[in-house]
Amino acid sequence: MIELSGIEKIYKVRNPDHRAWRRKSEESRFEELQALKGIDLKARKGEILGILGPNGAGKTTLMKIMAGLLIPEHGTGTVNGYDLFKERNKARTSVNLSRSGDWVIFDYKLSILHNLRYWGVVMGVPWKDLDSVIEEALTAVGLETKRNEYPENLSSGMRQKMSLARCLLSDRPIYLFDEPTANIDPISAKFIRDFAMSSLAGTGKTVIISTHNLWEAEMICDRIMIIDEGKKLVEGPTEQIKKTYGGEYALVRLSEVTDTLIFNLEALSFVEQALRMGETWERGDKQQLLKVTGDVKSNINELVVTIAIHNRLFNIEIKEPSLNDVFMKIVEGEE
Amino acid sequence: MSRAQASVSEDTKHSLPPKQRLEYVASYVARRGRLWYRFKISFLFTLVSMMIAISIWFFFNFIFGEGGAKAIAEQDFGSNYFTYVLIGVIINQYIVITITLYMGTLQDSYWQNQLEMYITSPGRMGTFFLSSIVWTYLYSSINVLIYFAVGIFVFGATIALSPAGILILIVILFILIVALSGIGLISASMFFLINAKGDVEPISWFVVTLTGLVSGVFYPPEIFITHFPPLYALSKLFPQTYAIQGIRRVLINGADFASPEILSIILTLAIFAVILFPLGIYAFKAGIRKAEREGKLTRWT
Ligand SMILES: Nc1ncnc2c1ncn2[C@@H]1O[C@H](COP(=O)(O)OP(=O)(O)OP(=O)(O)O)[C@@H](O)[C@H]1O
Ligand SMILES: [Mg+2]
Repeated sequence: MIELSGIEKIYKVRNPDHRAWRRKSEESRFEELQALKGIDLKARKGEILGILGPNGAGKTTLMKIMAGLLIPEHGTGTVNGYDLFKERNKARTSVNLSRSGDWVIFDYKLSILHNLRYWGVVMGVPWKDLDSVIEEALTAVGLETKRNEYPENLSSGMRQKMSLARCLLSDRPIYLFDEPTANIDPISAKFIRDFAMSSLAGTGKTVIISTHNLWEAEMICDRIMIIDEGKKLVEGPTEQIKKTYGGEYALVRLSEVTDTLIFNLEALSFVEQALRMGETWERGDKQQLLKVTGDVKSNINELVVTIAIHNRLFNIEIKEPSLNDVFMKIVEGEE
Repeated sequence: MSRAQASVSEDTKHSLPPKQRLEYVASYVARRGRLWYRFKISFLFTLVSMMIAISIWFFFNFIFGEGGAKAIAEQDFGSNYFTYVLIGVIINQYIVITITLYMGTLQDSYWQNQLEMYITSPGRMGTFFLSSIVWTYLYSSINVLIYFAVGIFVFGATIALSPAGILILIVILFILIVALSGIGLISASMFFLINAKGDVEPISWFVVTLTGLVSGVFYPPEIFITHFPPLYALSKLFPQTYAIQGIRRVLINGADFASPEILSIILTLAIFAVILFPLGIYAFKAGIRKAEREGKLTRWT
């Protein structure tokens, strides 16, 4: 379990306008970059929390803070019940962090097996458990047949899998994955997702994933949090967020959209709005388009009946919003 | 675009036109210049290192002759000068290794992006450094054995080794390692504290370079009393000066725990250790903390 409240992180970055030789320069040498602005977060046991946001939003920064590798300027937090500031070492050893690109830690002149044996021991796996733990991790990422190969000969996706395997070696209550499936093929990615859901979250681990793959987040995250420029924009159960921010709608193709029809539709309790969307031609028929928002999916019969009484109904499509739509709407709406 | 122009631009794919070549050279020179400028301090250090090496050779002048190092050493230890220097040089290896080990180990892990892993390991940095010490000592002990074997069997160095002597050696070396680890850790802390990520770190450089000059590796520090007294005082500020003296006493004179000189050396070393080691840990932790604040435990965020 992780709880953060009011986390703020301010980086000092070199001021590009500063000139060392201009003694009386107005600009100071460093300027401040606030990467996180008052982030509250709660990740529970057995759930997968997705952190989404554009490049530079602060996802990695947040991950590093939760892993105890970065000290924030403000805020409090506990990781696995340990205070993030006062019990740093215990908090740190409660977390397995995997970062994209952290395969660079491996020695290219040692086999995958030897590399994982070393890192297993470093992460606290006793010798006697090493073999079984490594076997399990390699199977989870689909590298079990490669154990005697050398990292220098692996494809970039395989290297990524290898570093994921490294992260799975030590049994810790919290797993943080920073873009785990970037570079990984769809079949392996599915395999890894299933593993995260069944073997990690399913066994009571706390899992936090940052990703740009919204489709993936939609599939596995129980809850998501969207951040941009260090600010939390929304947080909540994935389904609920989709409903609130996306909203499902029905796209209806019919012979004519009359004012009466719109009036009749909007009179229905489950309809929020009926909107004219213009017209198209299809196979010689003029079709008018109508967008009906509201709880249309579960009331599809009533909707069809209401429309079909007076009109020729060509087609009705229920559109469910994807997380992608929601993300675009929220992040773009922010700008 | 005319045909002629087109063919010119076609050619540029295979070779650079003169102007571009010039630009290339200029860019390269600028880059090297920038890199050199960033590490300009290291050039200074190299210069001073050379000066000190030269002065070591200068003081070799005083090895021979009346009141010279050779005479003092042979008179003091009653041995030949070769045995004296052999021991000095070998111990100096250990000293240099210990002082530079922490920075080297930290640096390697940093450049390989491993530091975060070691920090989140239940073994923390302590176990990591310890592993590194053990490996380095095992590794360099092979060198040392070869040195001693060749020194004794080929060049006739005379070494006195008793069980009690071995015990004293272990005690002295252990306390020396603890004390020098303090210096090593302070040196390693500079990696983050003053961003000493280039090739020269001032603290270890200072101690390592001066050890050769003043700590009695090649000649007794006593020769400075007549030739240059400040260096004699400086020699007293380094734990290794005492350790080298003590180890020579054991290996040449077969001194044991009954010797008051040995006891005072052990005590002095212990004082160094008690002061330097906690200081080293403190500095090192401060360095890591700074990196944790800046998000610079790894090279790339
Ligand atoms: N160590 C650092 N020092 C200075 N600035 C930093 C540091 N780490 C991150 N930043 C800045 O903080 C902001 C957030 O970076 P962060 O790496 O957390 O983004 P992110 O959400 O992970 O982005 P991405 O999707 O590209 O991985 C960026 O503007 C980045 O430039
Ligand atoms: Mg990131």
